[in-house]
Amino acid sequence: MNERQAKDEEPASTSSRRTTALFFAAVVLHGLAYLLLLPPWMGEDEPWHLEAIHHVAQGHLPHLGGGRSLAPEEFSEAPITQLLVRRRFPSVEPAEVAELQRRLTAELADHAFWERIDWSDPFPGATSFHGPWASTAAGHPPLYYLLAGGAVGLSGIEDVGTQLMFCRLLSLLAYLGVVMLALSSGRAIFRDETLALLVAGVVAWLPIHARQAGVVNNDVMAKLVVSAVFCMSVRIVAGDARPWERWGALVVCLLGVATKTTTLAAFGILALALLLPPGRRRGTWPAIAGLTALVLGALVVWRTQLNHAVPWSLDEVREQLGGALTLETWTRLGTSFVGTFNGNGRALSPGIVAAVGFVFLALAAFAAWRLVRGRSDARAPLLLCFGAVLLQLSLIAFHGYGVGRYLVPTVIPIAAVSVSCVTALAPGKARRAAIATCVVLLLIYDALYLWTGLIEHQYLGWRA
Amino acid sequence: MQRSFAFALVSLAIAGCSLALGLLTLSMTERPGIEVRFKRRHGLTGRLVPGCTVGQGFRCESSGLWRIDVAAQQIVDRTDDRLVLTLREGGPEGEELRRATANAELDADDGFVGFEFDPIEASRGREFWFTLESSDEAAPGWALWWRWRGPLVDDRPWGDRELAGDSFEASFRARYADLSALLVPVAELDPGTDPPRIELTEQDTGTTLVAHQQPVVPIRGGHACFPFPPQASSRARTYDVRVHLPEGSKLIAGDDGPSFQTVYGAGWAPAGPLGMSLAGTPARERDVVFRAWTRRSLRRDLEVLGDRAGRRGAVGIAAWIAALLVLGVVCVRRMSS
Repeated sequence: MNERQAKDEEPASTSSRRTTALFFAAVVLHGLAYLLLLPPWMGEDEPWHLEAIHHVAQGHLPHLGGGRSLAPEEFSEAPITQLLVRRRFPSVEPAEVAELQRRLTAELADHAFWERIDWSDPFPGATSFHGPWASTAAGHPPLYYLLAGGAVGLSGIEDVGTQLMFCRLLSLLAYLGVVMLALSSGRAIFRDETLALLVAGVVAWLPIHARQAGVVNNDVMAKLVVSAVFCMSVRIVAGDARPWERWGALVVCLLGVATKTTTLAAFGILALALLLPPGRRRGTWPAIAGLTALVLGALVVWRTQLNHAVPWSLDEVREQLGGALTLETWTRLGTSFVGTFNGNGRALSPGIVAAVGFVFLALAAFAAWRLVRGRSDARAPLLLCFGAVLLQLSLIAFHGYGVGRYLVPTVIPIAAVSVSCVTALAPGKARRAAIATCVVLLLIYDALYLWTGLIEHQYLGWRA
Repeated sequence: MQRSFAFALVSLAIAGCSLALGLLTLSMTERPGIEVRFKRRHGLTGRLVPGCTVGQGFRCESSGLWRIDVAAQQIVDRTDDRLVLTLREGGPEGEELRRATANAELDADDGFVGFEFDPIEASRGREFWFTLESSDEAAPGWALWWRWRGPLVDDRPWGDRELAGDSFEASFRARYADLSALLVPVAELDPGTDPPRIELTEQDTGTTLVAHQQPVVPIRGGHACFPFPPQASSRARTYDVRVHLPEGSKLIAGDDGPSFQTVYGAGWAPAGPLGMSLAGTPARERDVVFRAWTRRSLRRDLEVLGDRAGRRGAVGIAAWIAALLVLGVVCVRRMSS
């Protein structure tokens, strides 16, 4: 590069950096909007997750073997929701568990929980989760709770409502992190800054993901883990990866084991990246064998944590796969990916759900057709995108129960596949118009999601 | 300068259009002014035989009340019976404001029947009372659904057969604290001079309480309700129950025997519904499953949004608009580079 070329590029790159900085300012504002507009305790399972975070913040560490044994007399002392917490956090006093559940259920009542959630009978004066939700987050792997609980402990916040908002700020950071990873992935896939920004924009404005900027749930860390592995994997496939990224991806996969079962696809994504031509090199097959062993190890570890997502007998496998064979499972998955509210009890209007679902399915079919016909410009990275989404869908099928948030860990490949279709449909001079149309459609979807979904159901459509 | 102007114009256009779209779709959304929440309908009144009028009070928070829907059940296969609704001011003895006959058959989707009437423009902030009765006193065909203000456990679900009998015994383990009432599905019950009652004995302590049917009304295909003071420590305790009904009663039963349900909780006072009555006797811990429709108004929606979302919601909407403005700048910069 001569001196003149260097001078020409300098202002362009400064301008590009400014544009990127402005884009992230918009992303932060967008995530903040959802964080503030999602009413307290209306994120999926927030009371359970905050309960575990609170106990860690109070200095109680989860039992890493899954939990201590409970004495028979304890079963008549307290409801099952409290016993599971006592089992997981052996150092917590029973009275402390009961008191926290009492405080949390009082918070729910104060924030119009019964007016918003249709699937539970009203529980006047509930003092435990037994009834409103006969479950806890005690069966989940501990990493999310250790990190969030540690942060809450350091902050010194005692009030559970304020703790919730503090943890939502951590979710906003995770949201921002995933958008950054999307930008990096987009650059590796398309080698085009505008398309990379479009990938990051789809990830940031896709409502189900934007909403997670304000949800306290280990899902937010699971999506960060899978997104990081995907980003490193796509860089391996694109030939952009630095040497440490292969090992880095493996370490992040292992962090996923300590986070949530929905991260299992990360191992598959990394394996796929190592198998695809640019990433493939000597030692690939031993590496795949090692990853397979790690997946089996992860299943064993999760099972010892009493996690119901992992089947442990042929009957359990059959039962879960039976769930996957029902239309209801996939309808629920699709509807809740497009937009459900109030604890998944209410949805966007069927017309919007059908339109958005149709667009996504059509884009996926078109992208698949192009891949099969060998017409795709970025074949290997897009194969990785498809592989990632199919792996995640397989996991959901194996679990036998589908909700949209289980698909969010693969939000970057979903966005990348969509963007690849936009550019393929309108090559050359029509590309700008296609990108503008894509942005406008995304913003319309976001506006409908916010006003006719979130605001309509969370604030206006209360039931008495 | 020209470029900055373009940035501002595109940003404002994007933000303005998104906001306008949001408000427009919000203003077009059909939504009842009041809707009784229910996970499932808890109990049936039984056919509205003469004298068994069902009433329900509510406080209306919006203007232009024009329709009331109630969850109903057709008890007989073929009926010419039409439900009649009378709307009164304040309470059961209040001035009659409107009278309407069910305007359609049962809605197959959600099981509601609707009553439309001339709108009451100044309905906001007023209390109303509606009663429902059968138009065909000789052959009433409808029953209405109600919900208990707390959770229900289907200890023995509504069975598939009728069983002649005036008493039965059963045992059950209470699932929650605050056990408050026993519901007994009956095909026929005429209280007469022998008021129906239950004896509830806690196995561990041997403590027994007696509860009577409330209100004491004849029931044809519905639930007889036996409320008692909430049992605070009922969770996980086992109870024996003995049910005494008048001679000639017919129970509903399944494979396990006569059906019954238990309900829990007390003291929840939702905003809007004011409790129901049966044959003029109040049953404040229950509500008819109903919804009341008021005039659609974007202004009223924004007022409610302001009340419920507060300052946090206002900042959230401002952040959403600001994000669109900044995104507009990003789009123009990217497109023009």
